[in-house]
Amino acid sequence: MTRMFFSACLLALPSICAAQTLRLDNLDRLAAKAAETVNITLDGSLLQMASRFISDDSDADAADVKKLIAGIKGISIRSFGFKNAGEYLDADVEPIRSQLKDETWKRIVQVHSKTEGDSDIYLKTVAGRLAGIALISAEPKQLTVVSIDGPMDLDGLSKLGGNFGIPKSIRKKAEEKAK
Amino acid sequence: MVFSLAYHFLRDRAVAEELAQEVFLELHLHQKRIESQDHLRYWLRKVTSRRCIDQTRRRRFRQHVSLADAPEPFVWMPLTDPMLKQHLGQLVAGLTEVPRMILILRYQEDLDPAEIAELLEMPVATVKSHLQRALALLRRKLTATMGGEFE
Amino acid sequence: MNELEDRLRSALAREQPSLDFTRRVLAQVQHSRQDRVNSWKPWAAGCVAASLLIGGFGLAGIEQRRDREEVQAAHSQLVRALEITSTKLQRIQRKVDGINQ
Repeated sequence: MTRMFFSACLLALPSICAAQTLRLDNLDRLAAKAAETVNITLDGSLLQMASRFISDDSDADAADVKKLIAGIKGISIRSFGFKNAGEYLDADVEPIRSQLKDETWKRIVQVHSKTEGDSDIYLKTVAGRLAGIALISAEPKQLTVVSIDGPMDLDGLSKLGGNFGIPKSIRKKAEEKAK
Repeated sequence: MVFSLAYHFLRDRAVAEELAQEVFLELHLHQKRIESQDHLRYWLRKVTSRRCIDQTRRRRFRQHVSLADAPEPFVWMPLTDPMLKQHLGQLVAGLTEVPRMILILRYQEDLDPAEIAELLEMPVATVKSHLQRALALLRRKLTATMGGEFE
Repeated sequence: MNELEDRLRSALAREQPSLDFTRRVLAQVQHSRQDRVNSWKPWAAGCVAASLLIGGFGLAGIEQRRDREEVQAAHSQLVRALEITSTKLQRIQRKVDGINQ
């Protein structure tokens, strides 16, 4: 079932009209409490720039990555790692969830765990076409919000092997941490 | 080139930029005297070298202890390439003004001793002598830091 | 002596000033006032600019270097973004698969 949802977000979808980006800046105040913060904002021009750096000749993953981001207009990420559980509240995430209550957004995946927290994936559709993706991962000691403006093949992204230029050992470590 | 000469000599980016700006301002004042690109290059090196040496003598940027008298580091450790580069830069900056500038002109600008002599208005033999002694001193310091022979 | 000389060439390789250095110099030169018989001539800025180029301060060079640095930085950010998103997706996938079993 999940794969069907992911497969629905095919990059082959025709280009879509400009979508409004999810506003993540109201999360920025959590940086003061967090032990680790990741703050990434890539608009269309920066994505194009980054894409130039990826050489198709290097490996198959490079070509896949270029395909993945070809239709994207922007990616924003806020990720906060906290020393202890309970250092951020549901109320901190509420400004993001409020934006996702808009009728153009639809939650396609919702996972709740008492011990591991909540995870949600939302899709935005405009005129019947995929216009955006939002992911909220609210774990006890880590909060991550991803906003993708435009269509992206999530299935392709999650399956992407290779290393994005990062050694496999480090990726493996990241995966083990996520378990 | 101008900034780089000043930076390697003074090891202070802000002061080096300031000095470089002064050089270009001076160039602006003397522009009519410049006859060719080679002349321009020569002029820039000459003025920059002179200003660096004068400034150091005036403001006592020189370390209070000359490199020759500096104690050896009391902990020997292998230096990685970037560390060695940094260390070597600092050792050069610890030389007295004239040999320091001679080394920088030799190894940054790739000038031969005759060209350096003309630039600094000193005999070629003096330049060669400074070069030889500075290299020997650096080799000794590096060998002591890194252990083993540093050729 | 060769190794030491090679190391010296590397350690004393040309350094670049800050990115706005060239503009500051040209601005300073253009605004300076002379009380000389030979007054400031517009082409003199070209002389200073030429010297900046000789000195390795070419504006084009600086722009290219900044462009390259920006591209590399954007690429690093993209890699990080994709890595984080992929990791979270895989985590969600595992949870969903675990529920469905």
